[in-house]
Amino acid sequence: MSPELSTPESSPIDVRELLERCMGNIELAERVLAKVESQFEADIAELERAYAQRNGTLMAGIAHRLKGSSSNVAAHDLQRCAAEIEELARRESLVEFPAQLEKLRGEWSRIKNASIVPLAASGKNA
Amino acid sequence: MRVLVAEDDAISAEILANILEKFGYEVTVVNDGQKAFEMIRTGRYRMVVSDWEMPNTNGLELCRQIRARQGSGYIYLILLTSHGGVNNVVRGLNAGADDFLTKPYQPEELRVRLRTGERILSLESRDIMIFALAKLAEARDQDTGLHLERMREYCRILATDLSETEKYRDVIDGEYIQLLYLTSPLHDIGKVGVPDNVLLKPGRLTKEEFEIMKRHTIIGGNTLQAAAGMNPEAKFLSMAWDIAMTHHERYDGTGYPRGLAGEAIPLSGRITALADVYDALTSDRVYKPAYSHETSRAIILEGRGTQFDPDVVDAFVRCENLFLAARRLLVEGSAELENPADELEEALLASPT
Repeated sequence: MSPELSTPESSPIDVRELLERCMGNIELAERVLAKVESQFEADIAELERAYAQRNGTLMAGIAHRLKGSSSNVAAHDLQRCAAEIEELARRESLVEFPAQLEKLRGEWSRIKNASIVPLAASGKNA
Repeated sequence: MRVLVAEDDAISAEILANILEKFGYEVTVVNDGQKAFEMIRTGRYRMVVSDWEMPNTNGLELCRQIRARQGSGYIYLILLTSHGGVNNVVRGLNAGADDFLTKPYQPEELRVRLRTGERILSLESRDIMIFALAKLAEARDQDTGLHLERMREYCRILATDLSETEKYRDVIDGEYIQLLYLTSPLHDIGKVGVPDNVLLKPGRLTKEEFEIMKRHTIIGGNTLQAAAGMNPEAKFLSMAWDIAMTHHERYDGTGYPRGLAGEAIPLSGRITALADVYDALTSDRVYKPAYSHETSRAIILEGRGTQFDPDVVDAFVRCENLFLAARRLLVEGSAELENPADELEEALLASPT
């Protein structure tokens, strides 16, 4: 990874870190980001359904998966939101869940609005 | 080298598989622990990288299942998970994982941990060398066929059965069974020191010749004791020494070389004694034809409490069908059972009762 590579502070994904994890393979990074688009949306929807059923175990499992995948793509703010939700679900503190879900959705919107797939290319060329 | 990845998150799996391929591994990805265990049972994988949270069978259960099986090769397992913290590391390692890596990880860190795994797996060449040494010693004996292969299976069957009894539950664990399987083929290694005119004599030995033959226990025992002295931490050497020295001792104290009795004879020696005799009885020798299982069984039962440890004889009776299945497989089939428990079970189902 070239040392001059930089990621804007406001970026919801640390592109430099993602590319490092993909060992500089830009095609892989783009493929992964394309998967993020579909999987995160599906995970969040699944999380909402699990909340509707007040199923804390299921919620914790989904939030855990989201935490793992977001950490792998270096979406650290989303990772923190997912970790908080996992913790709430494990403690069965579902009262605080709507606020956390709102936060998670907000973070997810930031990622979507950042047009994440071209991010990898921009990071590579920076 | 093949690596099996068990990961239910498609994003993490994609990144991991690509990293591993870049490192030169041949990668297979499955998305739950149950499928992972099925793949492991094929015997094609010795290195596994598994997530913790997965549907059906999670990573911890997968670790336990892998460690509970009595397969022929060690499986090196790295748990890769978002569950951080010392407590989770301890839980993971206690369940049988060899290493633990927290997401997000750096590819280079994963690479060095995989290399550690490869080094550990390469130690299994030690096991192969031990068996090769035993086969070399056996090669002088002309009519033993797959004696070593059968005998170690019989030892494993007996030890596994005993490990499930109250008396031996805290004595025999998975490691003990593996060590017994590994070292029992060395029981007769001292025969390399027995002259041809005695070892290869067709027919009964004279009293003097029998005295010479009996020395194989001491020759083997002394050799292994010297090796154990150089490496006292190596449990397999001390067990191998026990077995070589004591597999001709008798429970009533009339055996050789030292006339040990009862539980003064190490358990590994008491188990090996029965396994060795059963195989000798059921095999052709220059001085006798192979006896049937029923005849051999009767002889062993007659030796309960005199020649053999009653507990070991009782274990033999409880799992005689497994003995029959192992004998059939290792006379007609391959020299090693890839998945012994499964293959014996299948053979049992196929066998007439």
